[in-house]
Amino acid sequence: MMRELIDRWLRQRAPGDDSAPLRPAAAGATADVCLIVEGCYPYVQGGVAGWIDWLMRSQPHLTFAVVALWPRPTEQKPRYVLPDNAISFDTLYLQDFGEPPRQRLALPDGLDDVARTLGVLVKRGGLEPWRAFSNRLAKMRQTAPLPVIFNSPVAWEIVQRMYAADMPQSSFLHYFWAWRALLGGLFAVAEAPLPPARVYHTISTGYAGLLAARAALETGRPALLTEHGIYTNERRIELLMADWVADNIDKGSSLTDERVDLRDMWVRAFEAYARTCYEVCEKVVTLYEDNQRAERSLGADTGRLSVIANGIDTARFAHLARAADDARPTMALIGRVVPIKDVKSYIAAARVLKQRVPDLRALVLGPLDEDPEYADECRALVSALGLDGTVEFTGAVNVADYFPQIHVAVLTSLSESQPLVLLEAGAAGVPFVATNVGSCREIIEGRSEESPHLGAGGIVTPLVAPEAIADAVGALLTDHARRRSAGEALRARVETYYTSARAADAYRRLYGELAGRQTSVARALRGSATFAPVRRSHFNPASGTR
Amino acid sequence: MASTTATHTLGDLIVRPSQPDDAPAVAPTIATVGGFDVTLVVASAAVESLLLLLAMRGTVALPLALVLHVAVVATLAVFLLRRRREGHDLTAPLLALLAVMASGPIGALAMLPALLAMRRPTIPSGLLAQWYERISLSTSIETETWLADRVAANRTIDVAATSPLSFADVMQSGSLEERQRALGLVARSFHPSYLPMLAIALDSEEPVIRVQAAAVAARVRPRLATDAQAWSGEAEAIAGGGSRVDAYRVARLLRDLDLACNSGLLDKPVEEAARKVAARLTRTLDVHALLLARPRSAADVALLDALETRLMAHARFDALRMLRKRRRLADRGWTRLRRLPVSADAGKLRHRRCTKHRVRRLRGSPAA
Repeated sequence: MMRELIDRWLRQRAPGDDSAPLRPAAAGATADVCLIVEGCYPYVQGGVAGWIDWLMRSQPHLTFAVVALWPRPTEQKPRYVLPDNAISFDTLYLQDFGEPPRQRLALPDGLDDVARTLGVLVKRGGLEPWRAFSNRLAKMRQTAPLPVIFNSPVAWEIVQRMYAADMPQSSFLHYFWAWRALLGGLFAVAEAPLPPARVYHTISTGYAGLLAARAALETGRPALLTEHGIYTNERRIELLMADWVADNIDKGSSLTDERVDLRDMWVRAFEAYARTCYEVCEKVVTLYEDNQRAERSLGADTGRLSVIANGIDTARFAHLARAADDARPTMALIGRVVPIKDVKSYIAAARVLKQRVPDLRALVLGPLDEDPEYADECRALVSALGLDGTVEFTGAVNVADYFPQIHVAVLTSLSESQPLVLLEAGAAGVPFVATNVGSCREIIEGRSEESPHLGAGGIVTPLVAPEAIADAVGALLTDHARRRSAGEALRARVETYYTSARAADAYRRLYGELAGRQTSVARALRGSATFAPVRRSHFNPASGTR
Repeated sequence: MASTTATHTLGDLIVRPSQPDDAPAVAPTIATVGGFDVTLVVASAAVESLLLLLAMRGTVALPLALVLHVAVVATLAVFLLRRRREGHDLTAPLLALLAVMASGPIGALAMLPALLAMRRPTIPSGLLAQWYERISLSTSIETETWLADRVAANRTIDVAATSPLSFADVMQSGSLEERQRALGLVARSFHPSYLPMLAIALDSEEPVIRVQAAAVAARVRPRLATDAQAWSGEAEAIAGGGSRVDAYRVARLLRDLDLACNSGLLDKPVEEAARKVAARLTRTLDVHALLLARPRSAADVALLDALETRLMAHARFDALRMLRKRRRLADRGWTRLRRLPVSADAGKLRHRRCTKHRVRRLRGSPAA
């Protein structure tokens, strides 16, 4: 698969692409780090995928294996070229699992036990249920390969037992399909080949987290988790709001009805997967402190939590001039013109602010083509509010060219993790007004343990609050001394805590620490009579080679 | 660099059963036999029998009898072609043609019971197709099955459950799970009354709640804009006067417009237009013209209280007094007030308490 992918990527590379040629994987070589990524790298541009590319390139002394989890085979083209130090790449399809049985399978004994074990795993999660499930699978594999079992009467019997135990009042049809989707991924993860590595680093919980848990159990090597957003929370939000999930129990407006419906089953499963991952991972890294609250509420051990913020190359922005006090008062929203950025609140704030600062200039620096309908609405809003001479949409630009004209940068987003633009503006000494999302407050006001405290680099406002945003920007635009000191504070904070060199160094130390460590899972299971590496007889956990 | 954990949505992971097929099953038929087909066969049988009789008696020479038989068959063929051009089912006329051509009057007579048999109802092939689909474990759901699922679902209402908690209270002091569930419900079944609770959630100390509230806000925003424009149009029509409207409808409309305007989720022009029309409606509301029934719930009472507050805020004290008077009457079962001119030249109006019956009588309705 690796060879095929590399060939394809090489064919796709543009003429004149002078990046180093890809290095084919050495057969059976053990990677220093196996990165397990779900739903992003290498098929999505930017975001977490960009971070993964950066991570591998920032650790040139280490070798990486990548396992990318994706729903099903796709025509999507990879957006990244593997770096030199990536020695293997595999794609694991979560919903492409199962093969038709070629012969009639006899129902094995202990199906009740299998159903019960699976039920505990998807309801409660944790290391012990995962281990028990793995042992059951090992026994079942003796009768037939797992993909065959998944499409056989054996699976049918299991799903019927789980249905009877979990939600007999619900529609079996809906339960069946939910079960197929949920457990298809689980079985795929249980069946996938594991690249040999010294450290298994998953970039989210969910199925990627389960694979990391399996790797830690089977190989005895440490697992590490870096969460950008909180995967479980994102799935929960998605599920709680989803119209496509059939509600079989009419709970009305009750929030305390304990009866389990399909929606609850989905949410519980992702929570259980997260608990399994948190229990196994030696370290759980987030980008900012606020995320740790959610992780703790899902059962993560406080002692394993740490923060490694993303960073930028501050040198690119350090030399830029500051906007002059007597220049036209300018604020700028830097980001894509899409609903999640809430550009309309920014425009509304511009209208409020214009009454106080008549010659205000409000820039929107970012591409308009991602959601043209929303961009048109924003333009119409500007006209309707009489702001044609005030608000300017520039489209995609190099922000460094604009920073010397900007007095205050603004972010009105409804959701962010750790916005890069905030760091870039900070590096350029531009103070920031941002909504209270993601790590904005932490970057603008400083972390709780910051010492010495560097001061506020701007103002944090509530979400969807144009008046508050206008007040905040107005306060900085009209008080030059305050604006300059905020810009300096933000610049100092970014240079101290948010450089890419610092982030790379933190991961270098973390990998070094983990690579030489025996995993707590291995320690806990040493001497356990019931534990046995569940399969892969061709894989030697001790040497880490196939 | 970092935004969300996974870029594919959960929907990508789901294998869903296909949706119910809205297309009705095609009416199943083996053959269509009309009255015309039967008439034609009866006529053929009669003509052919007569021909046979005449030929046997020697009245008609055999060659002539054969020519006449061919003429009958040709007539049947002409009708067959005509039916074909018209796109009708050809089973019955074709069988009749063949039978008459081969066996003359015997064939025609034999066709009669065959036609009658063909007219009997058969097992609809559409149903058969559905049955085969079901036993072959197809995942498509018929509308009836979907409906049955819904009925079954409603039977699972927990009648012993306690009454729902106040969402605003939950958002202030509920557990994280309760708050998330509440926001999920708001997203799935939005109502303007949820907007204040959404504002609390957007300002929550808990990042998880803020993120979810923001997702809900992004989702309900377009719908709220559409609703607000529709409410503005309705309020405009009522403010224009001319028809009697239900007091609760007006109160609800003004409340929803207020909630939408204060949510911060509307675009400024929409919000300002909504505010203007709500103010105009309040200024011009003809309390006499309102249809006011006895309140049926605490929510109805709260609606009218809010309307009173609104009238007070706009210094419409005469309308406020009238509304209060009418509410007192409505509480006792009086349904409406009628303004009666005291005299033709005086502009003063006299208010009288009227039941529905009395109003009809005053209007001179025949029902009185």
